[in-house]
Amino acid sequence: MGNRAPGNRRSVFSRLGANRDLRLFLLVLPLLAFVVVTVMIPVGQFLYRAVDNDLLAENLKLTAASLADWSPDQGVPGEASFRALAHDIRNAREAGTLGQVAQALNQQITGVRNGFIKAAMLVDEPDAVTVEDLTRVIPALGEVPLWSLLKSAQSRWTDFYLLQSIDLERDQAGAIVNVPADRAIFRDIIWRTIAISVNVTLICILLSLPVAHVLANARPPWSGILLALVLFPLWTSLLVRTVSWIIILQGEGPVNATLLFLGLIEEPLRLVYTRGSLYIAMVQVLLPLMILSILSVLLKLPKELLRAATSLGANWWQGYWRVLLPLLSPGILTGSAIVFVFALGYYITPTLIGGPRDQMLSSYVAQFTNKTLNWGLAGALAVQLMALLLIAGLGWAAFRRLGRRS
Amino acid sequence: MFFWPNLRRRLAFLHTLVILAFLLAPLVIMVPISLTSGTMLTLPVPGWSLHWYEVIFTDSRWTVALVNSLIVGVAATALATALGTLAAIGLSWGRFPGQQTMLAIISLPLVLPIVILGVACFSFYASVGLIGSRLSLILAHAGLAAPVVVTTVLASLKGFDRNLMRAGASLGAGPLMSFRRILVPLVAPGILTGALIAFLVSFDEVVIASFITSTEHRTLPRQIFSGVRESISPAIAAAAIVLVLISGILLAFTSYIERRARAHKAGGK
Amino acid sequence: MKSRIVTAAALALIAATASAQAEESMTAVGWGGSWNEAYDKGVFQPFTAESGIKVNLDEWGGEIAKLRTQIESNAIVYDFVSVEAPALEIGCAEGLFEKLPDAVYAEKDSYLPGTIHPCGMASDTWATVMVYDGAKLKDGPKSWADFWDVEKIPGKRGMLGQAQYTLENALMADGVAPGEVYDVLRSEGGVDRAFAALDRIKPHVVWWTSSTNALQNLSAGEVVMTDLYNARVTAENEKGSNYVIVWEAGFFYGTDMWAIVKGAPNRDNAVKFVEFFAKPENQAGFPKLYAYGVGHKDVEKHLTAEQLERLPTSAKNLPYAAVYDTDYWAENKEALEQRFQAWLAQ
Repeated sequence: MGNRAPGNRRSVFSRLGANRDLRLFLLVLPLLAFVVVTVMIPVGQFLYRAVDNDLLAENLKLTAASLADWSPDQGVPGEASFRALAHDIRNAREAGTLGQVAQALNQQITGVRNGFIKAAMLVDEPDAVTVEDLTRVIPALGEVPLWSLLKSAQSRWTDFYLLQSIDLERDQAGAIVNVPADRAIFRDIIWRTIAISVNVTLICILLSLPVAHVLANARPPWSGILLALVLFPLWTSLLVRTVSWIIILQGEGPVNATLLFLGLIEEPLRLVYTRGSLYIAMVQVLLPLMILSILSVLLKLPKELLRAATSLGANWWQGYWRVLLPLLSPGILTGSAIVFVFALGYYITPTLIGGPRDQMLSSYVAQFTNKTLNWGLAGALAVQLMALLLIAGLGWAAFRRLGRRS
Repeated sequence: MFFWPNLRRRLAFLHTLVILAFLLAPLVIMVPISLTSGTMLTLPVPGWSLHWYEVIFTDSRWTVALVNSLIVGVAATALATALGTLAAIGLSWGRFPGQQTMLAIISLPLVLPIVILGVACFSFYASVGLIGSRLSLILAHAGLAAPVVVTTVLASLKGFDRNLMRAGASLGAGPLMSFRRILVPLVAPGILTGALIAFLVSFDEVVIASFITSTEHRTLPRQIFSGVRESISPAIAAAAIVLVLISGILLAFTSYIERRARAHKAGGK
Repeated sequence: MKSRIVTAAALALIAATASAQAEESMTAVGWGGSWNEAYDKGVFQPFTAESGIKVNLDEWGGEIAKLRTQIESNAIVYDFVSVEAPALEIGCAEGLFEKLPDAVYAEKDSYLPGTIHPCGMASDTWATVMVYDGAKLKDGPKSWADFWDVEKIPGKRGMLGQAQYTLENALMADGVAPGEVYDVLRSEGGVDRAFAALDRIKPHVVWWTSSTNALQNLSAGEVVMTDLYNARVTAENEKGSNYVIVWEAGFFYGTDMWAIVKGAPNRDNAVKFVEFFAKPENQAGFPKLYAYGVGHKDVEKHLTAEQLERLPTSAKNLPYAAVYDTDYWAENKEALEQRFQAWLAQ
């Protein structure tokens, strides 16, 4: 960071006083505070939702307490627990939180929501409520899983959503097991997100290398023009470019029209709303970043080296592979890190140009936040996404260190 | 086949042309679409007309969006540039514990998936009662754009010879005077580039805008986005061309300023 | 100097943003696009003319998370929102919505079933219907069984990529009458039966995510038939297309509801609007322009025969219809959508 000639620094320091660093820190402080308050803390709160069990812990206190000594192998608990639950339901009704509690329970055991809402009408006299009354409106109370869930309200934290976000759950005995295949979707989504990002990165590397060489070798007026043309898309709206691809690739769009005209196909190909169209749109957006990263390294290499490495005739490929590529690797690595990290978080492009099976993690985070109000699961998926970013970041740092040492 | 260097070079050049066409196609395609006389986003166009430009410059939904985008963009840029420049100077010259961590925190909005940032902004601005206001979008965009300014200014400070500041100080210039007369002109291109990118970041941003803005404060990208999802009309192509033109003008303007600054510097020597 | 001007300008901007508007207004939130246009022209503009209250019409995708956050943080922007019926049910139980004025709810017997609720009244009754392009297909499908029969009518089928609507369609294709679909879904093995039917059509389906892309697939010939919201089809036909809605194949209709947000800043204006909208002649402003129904039974007196016929709830169409079961979906949506996604990925 910055220019650090220690000799210089000392003398400037002594002239400007010992508080100089403090004053410089004060320059950083406003932005730092701004980002911490408006980004870091809110993001932290969002991620915390993945384990937050406050709602249930607050509203099911009595029930959870009555189950302190209960364990699932004892079967359905006794009347005291039913009564405690009736109290809790009434209290939640009075506090106006019953709807949220019912919703949260329904997220973990499908089908109990309505029962809890209906039970609100039975509990005016909680101590008079019978086991039969409650079980009639909430049939799941006649089985153990709901009671296990109610007991989990003892804790302010839950691992339910984090497990769910990687297709795991706890069985009756509390052991972590895979969910049945017909409910397993999140590993697939996570893999899909990784696969799309990796593929986009690889495509970008392959397409960028020749372009970077041509740009590096071009002479002055052309080099500027070519670079400007490569950069220009970066200055234009991502949204606009995605919409353009829909027009270009749609059934009656120019691509299909050309292919039909040339007689290469007989009926329009299905190009848009597919994985292919998603790759096209993402690569178009991210490619300039990769070209720039590689170019910036390429321009620093001595011209003679380039010439030597590329004029080896028959051994050209070996020369390129053994000599030039390793030298270019810092640029490729930085470019890959940027492209990969951006790709992981893609949202708008898959939403607009991908089909239902091409949606990435971000889309599901948005969907569970906005539509189904399942903030626990949205938070858990956001945790997965952040974990992927972190792994990518650490991997990049490790590679870079390795590269510097060698 | 690849051992003829000439052929190889030609193939690489051809590849580059194809890639350029690929990169520019989505922008080029918007021109005829925006000039269509039809109502669908299809090619070839049935006839030519300026109708859709008329729509976006007269229909209040589009004009309000355009004005909002400009206001939010300018204000967010001003804020991001001010905060970002100060932070970059502090980070570049100071030496205090945790600098790397601070830079990482400041850069966070740049690498965070935009949806997570959108949800976070939503809950934050809701909690302080600013949700739906234009101010909330300005602040959110400033946070998103500030790391860009920090990066460009840090880069331009790398080449800055601090002895100049020392010389200034020894000639009796106060810190503020040195800052304005020596530092600012020299790092101005970095600041300007940062500010320009900051503006474009804000001008193009749609996810946060869709999380936190209300109708009266909707921006141009947000208006395009809702158009795309619901009823597609060529008005979005016209709006897109306007977006591209504004970006292009800003880009040309910056490079002009930078070139002038460089010429000025060279002349001074 | 320059920097001072910039600072001053920035401050002025911020001050300008902070200043509040003085005139009477309310913010209503609809579903966007042509839906919003029709509501604006047919209902809100007449309301403004009568009351002097300006309506800011926003749009959303029914994300009641936004409401919950606004209410929890006491930063409420929306006054009046249109939500899907299951969301109204959940939101009403959670206390996100105000109750309707007593005088309005007291008239509940004048409303079609499911179009009025203590917390809200119908904003639109929509249907997902089977549709094909009459210009491309002369002898179109007549039933959901035809939709499933790719030998009879070759070509891809468009379907919405989610469980809701799709499971209903699958059971109809499997021979279940619309009115019995939820009995089957609730019974043992009913959901499996729907998925088994979907297995048969899966290789021939192009899944859509927004009605715009469904329409594009249909107009570009990528699919020969699709399921779609009826008013989108009618709107396209008004622009000159020749899409045919196969009402008689059976369809489901649902209702979106207007509701006043709890603690709305312009609550009184929203209440005034509800009172305005409770009059059938005012409700009729929307179905005149858009092929979705509204709640009050007397609305039909204000519509032409043609405007009436294109509604899902018209006398001609209603015999083929059943109502989306909001209770069923409120409880099972998440689990079924998850299973659907897993099935889709197989």
